Amino acid sequence: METTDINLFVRTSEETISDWNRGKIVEALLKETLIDESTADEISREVETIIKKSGIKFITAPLIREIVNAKLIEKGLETARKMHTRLGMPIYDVGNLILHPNKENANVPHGPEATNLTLAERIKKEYALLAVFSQEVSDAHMNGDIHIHDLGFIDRPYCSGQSVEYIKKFGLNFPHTLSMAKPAKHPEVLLAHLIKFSAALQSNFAGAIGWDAVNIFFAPYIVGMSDKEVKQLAQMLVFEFSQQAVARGGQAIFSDINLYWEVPKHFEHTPAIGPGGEYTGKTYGEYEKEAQRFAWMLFEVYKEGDGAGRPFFFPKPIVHITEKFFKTEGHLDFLYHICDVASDKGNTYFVFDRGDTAKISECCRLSFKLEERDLEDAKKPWRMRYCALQNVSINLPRIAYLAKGDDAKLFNLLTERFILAVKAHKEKRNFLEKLLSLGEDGPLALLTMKKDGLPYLRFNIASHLIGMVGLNEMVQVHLGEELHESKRALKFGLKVIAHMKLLAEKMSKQEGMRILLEQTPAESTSYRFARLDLRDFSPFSGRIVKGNIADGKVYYTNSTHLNVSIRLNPIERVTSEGIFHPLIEAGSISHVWLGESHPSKEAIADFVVKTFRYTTNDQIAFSPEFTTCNTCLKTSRGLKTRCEYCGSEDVDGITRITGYFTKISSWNKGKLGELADRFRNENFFSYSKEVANS
Amino acid sequence: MPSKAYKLPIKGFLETSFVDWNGYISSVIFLGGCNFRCPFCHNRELVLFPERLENISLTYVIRQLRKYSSWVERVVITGGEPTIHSSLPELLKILRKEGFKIKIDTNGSSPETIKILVGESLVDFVSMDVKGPIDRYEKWCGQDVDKGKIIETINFLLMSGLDYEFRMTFVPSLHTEEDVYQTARFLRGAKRFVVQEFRPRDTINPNFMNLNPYPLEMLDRVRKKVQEIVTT
Amino acid sequence: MGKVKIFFKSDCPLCGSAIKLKDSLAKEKVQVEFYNIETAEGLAEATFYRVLSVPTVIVEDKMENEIIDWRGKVPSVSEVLNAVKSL
Repeated sequence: METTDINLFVRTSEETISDWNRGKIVEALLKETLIDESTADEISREVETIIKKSGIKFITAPLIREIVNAKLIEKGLETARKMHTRLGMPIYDVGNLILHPNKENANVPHGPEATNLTLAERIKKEYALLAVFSQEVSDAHMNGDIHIHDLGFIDRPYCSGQSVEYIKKFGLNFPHTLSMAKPAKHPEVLLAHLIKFSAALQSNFAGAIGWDAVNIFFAPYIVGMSDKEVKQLAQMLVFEFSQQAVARGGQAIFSDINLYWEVPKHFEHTPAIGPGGEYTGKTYGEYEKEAQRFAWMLFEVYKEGDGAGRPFFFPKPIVHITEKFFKTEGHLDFLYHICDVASDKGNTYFVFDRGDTAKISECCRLSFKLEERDLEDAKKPWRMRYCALQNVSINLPRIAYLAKGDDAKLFNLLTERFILAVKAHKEKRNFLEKLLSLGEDGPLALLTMKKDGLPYLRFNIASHLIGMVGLNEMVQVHLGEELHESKRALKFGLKVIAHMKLLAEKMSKQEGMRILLEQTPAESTSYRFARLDLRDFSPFSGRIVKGNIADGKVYYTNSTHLNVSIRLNPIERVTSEGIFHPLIEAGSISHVWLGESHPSKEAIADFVVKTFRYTTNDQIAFSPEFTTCNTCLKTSRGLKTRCEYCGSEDVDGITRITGYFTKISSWNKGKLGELADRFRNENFFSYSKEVANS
Repeated sequence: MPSKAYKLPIKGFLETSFVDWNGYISSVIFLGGCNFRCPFCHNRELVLFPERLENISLTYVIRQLRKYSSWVERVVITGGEPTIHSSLPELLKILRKEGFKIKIDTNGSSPETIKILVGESLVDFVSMDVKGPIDRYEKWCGQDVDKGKIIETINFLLMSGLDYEFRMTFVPSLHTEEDVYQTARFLRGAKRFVVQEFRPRDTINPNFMNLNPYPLEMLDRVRKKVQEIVTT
Repeated sequence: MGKVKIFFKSDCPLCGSAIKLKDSLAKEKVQVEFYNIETAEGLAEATFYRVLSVPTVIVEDKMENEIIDWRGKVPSVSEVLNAVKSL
């Protein structure tokens, strides 16, 4: 290969300055693309001419690459151009990132670790769109027909739910770790293992890490402990999870702990594992009292809040309310106890498992109805490892803009989008399969370890989630009425979701993979879709998107929820929203926004029990609002601009964003728009007052 | 002939409240108008200008109550001051016939009405606002008050065997801590005396909107002491 | 006169008699709506009425209030007629 002697220095990506070498261009083109040597040579000469003519003395390698790309386009070599793409970011953006917080996900704090995460995510996202997904899928994501969640985590599955039994039985022994720990002998050690394993899992999954029936599986370790010791253990658990802000990207571990007052039927006769990973000779059914003590103490910790009296953001406590719950001694006291926390701090999630369905909530809102095989696994709970590989949401309002009132067109488009979402799942699945096939030498080594003969990540039973954003606005566009405005609108909304549900079933069979509907916790997606549709479907979309267009705080209503701003009594909300829940297998929730009000635990309990009995709602949570002062460190109720105690204006508002509590200062604009709109079930006065004032 | 209750000025109706009847979900009916002018009251319009607020028909209220009757078994009548309306008992009779349990919020200015309601078992719970120590009642209520009536209602509730509570809003700059204790001593032996936090919102006297509420720790301390006083 | 809603699906053992019921009611000039829960329309309606098993038969009054239902079973023609005509 010949070189020319132009007097030019090149700053390479290896932090060196080299002399100009045209041959490098040829080398790269041959290595990275499929073009032949003579074309590569021709391109390199043309590029050299351009650079020579410019008289430039210093040039960077990325710039040369872009000039080469321009040549490739000129020659119509589009495939080669794509393969030769350089991923990276403008200097301006990197500077901004380092200086300013990321608002895509309110769980990401601002700091060097977080910046690293964001930078890596940006590049992996570009990689995903160019190299993992087909053009069709990538384009649909880019233009906002669908949204593929967590693209920056393209090399990880989405979320994972598992059992503490795994660590109890196998200890901590990961591929490539420096030391291995045998199964814990003491509760504190088990707890340390739990936290470390959660952190390890968080580095291998994009989203939430959930733990099933935590209090049940800790129970054998709690035998003989005093109340004070159990409380101490509970405190350690909550603080350790919530303060893991040194983990990935400086984020807290997005963690859920599932709790039961009763020992669920499917674990009643399961042989219990105790200290040292040994069977205790008893079943979990016999550890009810210990399990209850631990659950009770965990909620005492939630009730107290953190050092400044603020609610803990993580781990989210999810309590399962079942028929057996009501038959278990002490359930009313426990219900009051967790309702007290719900009213005071908002942490409690109430999941309703009606009838005989056993269910485990895992990551995010993902929950599974246990099937035959799962119930078999329940005898060996360490095998109960579930995950979702990815989550794709469909922009529902856009379909309605395009359908222009035509029913058939609307459902056809919906089917098309659904098929596209499934295609995105298949592409990610293939990619992950490739990573996992590298086994313990691959990037997902942890997920391939085979302690019980099966890989940790049970690929064959993994789920693929399809979510929806803005059903309310879709119906509004199509029928001129929002979901809450008429029975006709509500039924049409149901038909849309029923259509999706039937598609999920059909395509699961067809593709041999588990496809489930989920209510997307579309923290930034509802904002993104609304913004894109404002751009592409104005002026009509301007009358549809929610929030404040003038200051850009726009959003679509999440999933199948009803308009958050309407004055709807909470009974109507949990009932109407709950109608959708049976169709959305992988998890749904209704929020009751409390604002400043502070109801009695008995009133909340009354409402919870009636929601269980009279509705088909799957899950509810109550969300109060708080103001925490950075000057006097006190926390008061309601969102205020000044501290109620010391008058300081250095305050943070705290409330639930979608699925978890955070500081409002970290929210994206769309969510801020929603917050301003949220109807709060405060003891405010009448609607006639609003009429009178308007 | 339709009941006179249909003419009552219902100015607000809250289908589901978590906070108006301690321990239960309840529905709340707001009647317009009041015979007091407490400067810290936060139902300004309802008290001063009820005519500016639209009436809600009792027919509508009853329809909604029926709709949610499996969820909500209790109705709270508040105001304003419900006892200033002579057809209040008619309203309660209608609600009773519908099967609801009833709570009345009152300032205690009409012991006669309360006695009638209790006598005819039209009420299950009375919640009486005690504005402060009786000796300076004009100051708390913003106008002249027949203190004898207030005392009569208090004594009646104490002796009635009915479920009741007394409530006092502890207002910065208006009440001192000692005022709360003095009130508590007067109510000694009561089943329940609740000290409420003042919220600077939409008050009758606009100056009260600029007040900072007392710190929570102080309220906690006062509440504790009040419990000791009332229960000894 | 009330209205009858029948929910069924193509491969359930009792659904044959649900189809017969529909035909008999139609002869009696009763207003019958027939929903296959394997279609979006049918599944949506079933979800709205909290139908968890098929066949299910529901009788409604004019205001669309549910008067009586048979869930997971098929009533006799006369049972349904009695309910419908009582309205």
